Amino acid sequence: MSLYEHVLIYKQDLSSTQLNTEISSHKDLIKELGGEVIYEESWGLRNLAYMINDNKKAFYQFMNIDMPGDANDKITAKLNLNQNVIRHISIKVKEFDKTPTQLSKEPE
Amino acid sequence: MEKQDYPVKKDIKFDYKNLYPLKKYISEKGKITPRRITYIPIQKQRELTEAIKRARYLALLPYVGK
Repeated sequence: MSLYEHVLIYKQDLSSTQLNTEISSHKDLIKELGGEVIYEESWGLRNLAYMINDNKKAFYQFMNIDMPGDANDKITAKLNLNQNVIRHISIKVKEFDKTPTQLSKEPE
Repeated sequence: MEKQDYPVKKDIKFDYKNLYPLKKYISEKGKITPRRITYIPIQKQRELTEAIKRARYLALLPYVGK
């Protein structure tokens, strides 16, 4: 098992229920693959520094995850096909930083 | 010229989730300030560069300035 930080960026035109189902389906996928979500937080709707696929704003979701290493490829493959996710990043870390993160405190 | 003391504290941690320290080290055009100007230790400069590049990918910081 390794520790990962996930940041997912969702389209701005999703409704709150759509956003919640997207996030919960991501969490379910992690659980299916034998991982565990240790911490999650929302950075809310933020202005993007540059336009991505005609989006000026986007929802940011941050997660701390403990999961086996081979699960990461499957999650990445699935996120690449998801049209509601405009960017995603998965970073392997030795230990998690202090939470809550600074970005959640300063909304823009 | 004698080498300056470190202008940053050694225990500062550059992280893509904390934008305020990163913004000090990018120019108006959005470029990363080189080490000959920042005068920070090489380990910290590498940490800074990685953090800025991650923040750029997540559209938290611009690739090019306004």
